[in-house]
Amino acid sequence: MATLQSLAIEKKKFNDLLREIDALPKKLRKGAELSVLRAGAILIRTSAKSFAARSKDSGALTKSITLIITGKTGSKTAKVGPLKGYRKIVKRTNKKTGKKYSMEAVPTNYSHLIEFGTSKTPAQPYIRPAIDATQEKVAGAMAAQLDLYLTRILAKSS
Amino acid sequence: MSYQSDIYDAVVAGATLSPLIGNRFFWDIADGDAVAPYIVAQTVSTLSENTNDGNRSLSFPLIQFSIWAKTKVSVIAITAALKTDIEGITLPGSSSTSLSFSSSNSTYETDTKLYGELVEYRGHSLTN
Repeated sequence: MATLQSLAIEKKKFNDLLREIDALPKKLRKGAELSVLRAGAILIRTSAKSFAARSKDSGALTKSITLIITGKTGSKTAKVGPLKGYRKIVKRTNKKTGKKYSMEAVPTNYSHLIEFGTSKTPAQPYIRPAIDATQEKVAGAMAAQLDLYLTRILAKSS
Repeated sequence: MSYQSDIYDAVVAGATLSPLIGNRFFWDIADGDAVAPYIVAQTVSTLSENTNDGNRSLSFPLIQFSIWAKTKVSVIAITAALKTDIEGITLPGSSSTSLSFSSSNSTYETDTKLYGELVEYRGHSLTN
């Protein structure tokens, strides 16, 4: 269910999860943060890729969508989007002459135009629907990953 | 009637907005010969409420309003008018749609020389 009330509950769950991670010993916390963030962000990345695949792009955008976790010190952030520097050679056909040619697609140069559209082309959003579609599952996946992580650590230490 | 037609009616008949854009309000894509200023609206995504019997009665669409005009002053005026006419009120129509502000971004297109404002609203509407 996706009412505002349930979103508030999800947020509460998420905050509880963060408190649980904070309560861990410092050494364990670093690994837990990475593992838990990744578990949640993977869902968003997968969903973003499926939404991007529906766009009229050559496929370069879909392939370039990646997940990066930043923040060496302090709290970490997971970023999902087209990878900077990703390039792909794509084949195109000239509509007037019918000639085939190759060109380099650099998704970071045009990904925002696909997400938000322009004055002449409609938006084909892939990030915002991915966040909406997965927000209920993300907190659950992160909680499950924390549980799995701690179970593994305890199994190792015993 | 859907929330889309209710929003269309509210914008085109909006007391503050209609003197600025007339009926140049489009869903999904602007007419090829549309002259700025104009607004293009699109549903970005939809959250829906599902009940145990499988029926859904409410939806929460995220709607992007792209405002395009030849001058920044015009964009600012239309954005403010849009806010006055649709934000925080229940729109007339069977969908009982209300819209709450979500986010806003400015842009400028060098090829068309148009200023833009992409404003997002989260809708709350009946699906029936």
